Amino acid sequence: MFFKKKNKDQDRSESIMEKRIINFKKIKRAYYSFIILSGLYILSIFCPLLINNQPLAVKYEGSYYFPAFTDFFDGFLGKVVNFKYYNGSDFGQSQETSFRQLKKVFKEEGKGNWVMMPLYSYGPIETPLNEFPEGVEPPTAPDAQHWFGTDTQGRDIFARASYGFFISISFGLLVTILSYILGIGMGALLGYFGGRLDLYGLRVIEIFSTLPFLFVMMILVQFARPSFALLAAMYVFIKGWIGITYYVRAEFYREKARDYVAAATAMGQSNFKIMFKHILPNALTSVITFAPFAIIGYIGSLVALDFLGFGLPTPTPSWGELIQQGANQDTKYWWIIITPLVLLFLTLTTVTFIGEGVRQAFDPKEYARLR
Amino acid sequence: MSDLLLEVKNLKTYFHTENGTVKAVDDVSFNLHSGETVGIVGESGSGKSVTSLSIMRLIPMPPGEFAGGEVIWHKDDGSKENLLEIPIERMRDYRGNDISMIFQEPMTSLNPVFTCGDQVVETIVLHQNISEAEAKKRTIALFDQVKLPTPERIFDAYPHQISGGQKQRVMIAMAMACEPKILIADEPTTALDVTVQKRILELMLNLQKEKGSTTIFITHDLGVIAEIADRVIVMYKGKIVEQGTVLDIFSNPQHPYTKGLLACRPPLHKRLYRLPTVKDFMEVGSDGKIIEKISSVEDALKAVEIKAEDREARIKEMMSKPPILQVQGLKTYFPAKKNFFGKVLSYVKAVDDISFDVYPGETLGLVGESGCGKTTLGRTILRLVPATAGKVIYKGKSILDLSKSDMKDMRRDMQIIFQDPYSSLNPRMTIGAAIIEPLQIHGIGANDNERMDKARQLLETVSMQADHVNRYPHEFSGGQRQRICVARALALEPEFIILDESVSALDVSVQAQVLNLLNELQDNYGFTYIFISHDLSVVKFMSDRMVVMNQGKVEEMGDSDDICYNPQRAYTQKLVSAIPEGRLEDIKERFARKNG
Repeated sequence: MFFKKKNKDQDRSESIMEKRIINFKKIKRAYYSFIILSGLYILSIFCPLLINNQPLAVKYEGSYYFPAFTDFFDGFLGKVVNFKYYNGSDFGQSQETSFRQLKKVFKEEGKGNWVMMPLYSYGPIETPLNEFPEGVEPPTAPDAQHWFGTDTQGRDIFARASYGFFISISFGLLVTILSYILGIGMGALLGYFGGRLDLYGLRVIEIFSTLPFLFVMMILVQFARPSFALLAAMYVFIKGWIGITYYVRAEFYREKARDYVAAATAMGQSNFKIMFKHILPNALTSVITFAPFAIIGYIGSLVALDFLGFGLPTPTPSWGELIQQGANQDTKYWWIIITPLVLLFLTLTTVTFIGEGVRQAFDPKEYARLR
Repeated sequence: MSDLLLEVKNLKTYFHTENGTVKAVDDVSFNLHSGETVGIVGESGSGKSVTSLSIMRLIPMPPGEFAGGEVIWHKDDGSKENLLEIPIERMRDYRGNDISMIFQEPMTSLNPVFTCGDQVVETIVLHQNISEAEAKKRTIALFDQVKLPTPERIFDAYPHQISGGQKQRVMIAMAMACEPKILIADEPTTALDVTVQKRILELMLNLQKEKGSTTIFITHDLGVIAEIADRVIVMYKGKIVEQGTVLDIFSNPQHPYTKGLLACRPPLHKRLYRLPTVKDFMEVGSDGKIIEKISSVEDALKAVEIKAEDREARIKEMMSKPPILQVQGLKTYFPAKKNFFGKVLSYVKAVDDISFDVYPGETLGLVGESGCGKTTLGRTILRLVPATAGKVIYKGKSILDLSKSDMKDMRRDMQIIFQDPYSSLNPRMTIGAAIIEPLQIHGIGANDNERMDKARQLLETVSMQADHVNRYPHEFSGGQRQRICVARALALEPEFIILDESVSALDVSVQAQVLNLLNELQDNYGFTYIFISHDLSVVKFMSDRMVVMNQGKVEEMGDSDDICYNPQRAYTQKLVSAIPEGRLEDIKERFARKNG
């Protein structure tokens, strides 16, 4: 298991899980996909420091300001701490002045004030209309300033797509993890105790599984206008846990009849420990193999909801929203739709590679011992 | 001898695994003449199954590989063909048609979604150019030949609807469907009860006599070989160590390994305090050479025999104490039929009004065919299965009425060791973690380091290496795993242990080692055992007194020797007579019948 204590003894052999991780590393395509994707994801956590219209640091009249970090921490602690956002008016300019313009102004002034911008100096939700040259209307085609062009409102597509990557993957991961926790808990209870609990539990699952997912989500979203976390919770509750519960319940049913469970009972082990210490590690194989494909599913359906306009609240940067913009535009504005589609394709392909690798590494056939 | 049918020459089958190359079959040569039955004997891992699978080219590749040798098939017209070299499409013509196979596990070798009849028809239609209706007629005739009751009904039955013995008969019918020249039977009776085994062996003998078919019979039990084979090949670690006629092997074994295999079977007409094992006869030197230690099987057996008066004294002393466990009118019913509203209409009476006493230090044997309720009885005593009625009194306390926390304390005293060493250890836990788990539950020992030290001691107690604590169960053989299970049961220092078919899944030679270990432990620690098994000879070896169970009820109860030497009930007589003893007289008689 992942969280097993390290043992100092020599002559320690690998657990099944360790063996599978070694097997996974041997499957190069999957392993490199995993490294690239998780690397990019970790990088995308720091998006506010890399791709932002807020500067990393400003020196103005002897004091230092760090607006981008404010933005970064706001993402985590926004609910707890009230952060002050800066704009041009804090630095002796008008409110509409962007930091890019401020940088130029400071340089021209030469008073020792300076602005340090992030690597890519456009943000995902800013509309720098006043910086467009005369007579140019958004959307604009890709150029040196806006790598992937701008969308209909003049927002930078590269910035939006990058933030969208972070949100998509986070959403997929979060929904998968929460569904697994709920699904495994429910499945374990139903499978292990069986009887009447199982009888009624299954009926509840059947009711939930007949709900038409997209329609229910649309209706709920209309009412609730959910935030990121609430939307994820709705996904988990309406759809995510059901499939996992089925799997885990069946695995528990099978495993509880095995003798090692009877042996644990005979030594006086408690039900809870038997369920989660003995049976669970043996019941997890199929659901772990399934996880990457579940993530793909959730990313895909988030894009679908955003596309229909029932997803995350505007102006959250998301792929689905970009695709929707692109689909409604003339084909001469091709860059709006191409960017999110290519990114979506690449991401889903990479996750699929990982999923295939996991499945292969977990395949008992290939690495079974001959008895 | 009659015509040469198959020649195996210097066959080498290797497996390339993560831990290096395993030479499963290492330079094996033998001939097979038409009409004879050749038995291949050896412990698991000796390469006997791989040899037969190599002949059929059923070795998975990779990881398997034919590293050399030939399997030469002699056709009727005198031409020869090397089966290892022909294309796999041609090999399919041989499979099922010229060579067919019966597998060990009848439960899994029939496809559960087809009826038994369909599966046999499929084989016939596949290899012979006849209509389905014709094939059906043939199948029913075959079912009749293998002595299946009501062949028409079995034809339409699904595998789960018939018993294990019947399934094995269907398998035999399927294997014989195309009248193959060679029949390979890979441990066909190992998964079956002794009584069923006897009937299957009789059937195979009859078919042999009627059809003159050629058979390769693979088993780990020399007793079975004595009942059926003409010639014996003894395999050890991928090599043939001895071959000869059955009479020669039984009357005058040459190789120490063969002697070990002969001596390690629990004898029915002697009482021994320990079984000789293969290790008593031979030792593998550091250079891989085999050193012989005892040369005569009779001497080895004589050395361990118990005198009748010693045994009487022991039983007398034992019975003088008050019983440690009393079972009174115990009943365990399972609902069989329910009506629309879930009300139970009828029950399966797995344990039906059973009473007996167990005395401290005693081994009580519990014997019966599978399905007689002996396992349920054991589990009911430990409250792993809820009882319907009756009383279980252990040291004056009524176990069935204990509260949850009292029961937890009671579990320290009463342990159980299960049948299948492959499923009774959690594959995700190191064996050290498995052994210290009961200590953790009951809060014995100050911390895990201290408990781990105890686990190491326990492993040594069951003659395993202490530094194996951090290994996982899959790295051990069946016998070693059963030792680990014993160590786990001993961790709580119980007084009373139920051994539920604990050696039934093991090879005869490994079984002997585990039985000896159990007896040693009993001598050293004074355990009380209930020993459950379907094999009367094993129960007799282990137990002082014995309970014979049939359909949930006690058939006969009393001193083990009395029951074995002088069974009163027809059921017990059937059990006694079903044991393949491998006595010389029996073999001679069989050959006399065959030739005369």
